[in-house]
Amino acid sequence: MKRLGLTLLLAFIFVTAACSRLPELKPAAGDFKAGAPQKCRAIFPQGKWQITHAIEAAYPGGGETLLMGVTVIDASPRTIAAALMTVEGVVLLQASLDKTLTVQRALPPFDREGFAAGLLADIRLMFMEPDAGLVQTGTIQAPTGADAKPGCRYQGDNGMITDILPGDGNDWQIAHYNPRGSLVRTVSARPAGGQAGLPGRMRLTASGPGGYTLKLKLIDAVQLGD
Amino acid sequence: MVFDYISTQCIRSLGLLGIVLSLCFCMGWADSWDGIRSAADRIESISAEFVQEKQLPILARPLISTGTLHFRKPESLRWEYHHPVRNILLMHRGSIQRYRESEEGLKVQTGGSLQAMQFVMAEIANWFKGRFDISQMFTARLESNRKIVLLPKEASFGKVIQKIELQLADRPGLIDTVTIYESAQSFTRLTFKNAVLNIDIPENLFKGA
Repeated sequence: MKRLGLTLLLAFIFVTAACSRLPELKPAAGDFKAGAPQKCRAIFPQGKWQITHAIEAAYPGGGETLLMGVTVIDASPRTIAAALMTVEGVVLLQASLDKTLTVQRALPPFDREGFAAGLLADIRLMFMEPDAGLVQTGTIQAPTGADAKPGCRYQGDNGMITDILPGDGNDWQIAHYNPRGSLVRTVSARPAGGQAGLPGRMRLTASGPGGYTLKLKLIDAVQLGD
Repeated sequence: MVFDYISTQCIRSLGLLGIVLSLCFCMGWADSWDGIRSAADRIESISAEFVQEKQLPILARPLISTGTLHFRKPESLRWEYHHPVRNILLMHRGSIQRYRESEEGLKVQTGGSLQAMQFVMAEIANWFKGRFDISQMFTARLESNRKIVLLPKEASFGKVIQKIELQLADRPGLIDTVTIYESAQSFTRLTFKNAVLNIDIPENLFKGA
């Protein structure tokens, strides 16, 4: 009985892993192909913004918490400053990224090595066009298993691949794959409650054994001057 | 006619005397710890609204939250955020609960993080009781103009909170603002308004969302 259980578990892991592989990219229809890079770029805020979200974070082992996240992003130059805080206003983590990562404040357990870098990488994935070059446009299978959609594929120097599926309005998806082609992050956006061209709801899922989910509700988006 | 004149003058004088007495009473209430405790002793419950303003060096515009608080002696506290997210902290008869907004509605939160909140909630309850001297976390200093400064007792805690400033109100027993400094540029300011004292707050308000 135990052996059967183990076999089923391994089969499940194999099937799940197989489903999360880099999907094939097929040629898209002419209309999308013409404006593809602009459509993919348009899901990201242009210029400089201060964006505030309420974040429901779900960690491995069933832990959940509600945090407030504020991000100041500038699309050009590509800079991010972010703070993660409790609803009561206690700053748990404050960090910025331009050419290098600077951590201004990190309280336990947010002071773990790599946490700030991981958080800013997630923010960059959600709010900035990949700095890697656009390699292809076409029809791509969404990681959610929904029908294939027109999208863009970017590949970085480090081998990481990012698929952007712009969809209609603020209903879009991002899938991020490691160099082996395994899915490591998905981001999906829904328009409800959106402001200033930003989606009202976003969900980031990190795959793998230490995986987590962040559900973001847009509170406020302010475009800033220089 | 003369009677009317005398009567009006008497009423005016009495009114003026009342104002002067009130001013004397108000001016003195926060000059000493005894005065603060004595004013707080006359308070059985407080209900108020609050506005929370969060300032950080990276912010061009502060983050504003609003909510309500209810306090009832000896140690019942409901600290509720209404906007931009709903979040409720409850302390009643030694236990603590948190309800937080989620996509599925209000969720009750349990776990280790609430133990830390128990200290914070007890600290706030002590403020409303005028007992700044029994804090486990802070040393209190009473300054002029009804200001109290709380400094962390332990240096390690000072890395989390540098200091807290409480501006007491004109009205005896009440707090106008609480400013929690994480650094000189990073702080959270709570401003209380529409405070109502000594009303009967139903126990249910401290027991659940």
